[in-house]
Amino acid sequence: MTAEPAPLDVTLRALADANRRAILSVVRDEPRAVGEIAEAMAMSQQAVSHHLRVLRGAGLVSETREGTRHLFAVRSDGVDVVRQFLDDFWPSRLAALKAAAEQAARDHA
Amino acid sequence: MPDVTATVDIEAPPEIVFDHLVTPKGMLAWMGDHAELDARPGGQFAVNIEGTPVRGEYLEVDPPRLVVVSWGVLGNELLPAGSSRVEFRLTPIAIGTRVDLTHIGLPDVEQPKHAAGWAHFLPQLARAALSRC
Repeated sequence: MTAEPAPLDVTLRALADANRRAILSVVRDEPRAVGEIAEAMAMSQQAVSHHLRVLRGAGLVSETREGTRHLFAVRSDGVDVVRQFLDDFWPSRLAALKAAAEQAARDHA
Repeated sequence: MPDVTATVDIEAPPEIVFDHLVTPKGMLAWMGDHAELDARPGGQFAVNIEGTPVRGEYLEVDPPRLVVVSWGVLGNELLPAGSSRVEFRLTPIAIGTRVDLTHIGLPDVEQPKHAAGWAHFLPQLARAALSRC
């Protein structure tokens, strides 16, 4: 609809990958380091790092430092974007209903 | 999450708006790409919205004033078929029809502890959203 990618678009694209959804499940209860996530996922650290970059870019995980370790955790702001989508769903549908019913009324006339 | 409400004023008589809620042809003119509808209490309400199989039943059908359906997504743990409820109230107004919509019983997607739940729910939303862009 809009020229520039909406935040939701980025968020949903990030979530379109099953591995990234699984990573979110791994870090949802407590922050974890890349190595821990890789072990839980049975994936290479390189692959996990790539997915974490995408998730972080979408605002779905946050990164903090604890000494030399980088810890990743679920970030709730990303979830708020989804909530916003749910709030927008019906207004956009009703706009479509309005267009369709008004067209039908004109066709009847 | 809290109930979702939305309102729209339509320049068409309630009878025409009502048709868009109870007939496959009318429904598909504004929502979904496949619909199987049996618009009587207990009758099937099945609409595929850009890859998302929305499933429920008509709960109340009062032409041309009220349609209530149960609403969920087939195979979805967070919002199972028929698990929430959508009410369409049609009121005659000077220019045509006011539609007041209320969607109640939606799952809570805000809490991080539900992350697994919404991660499961989102791909279906993603398909719906992305295909509209």
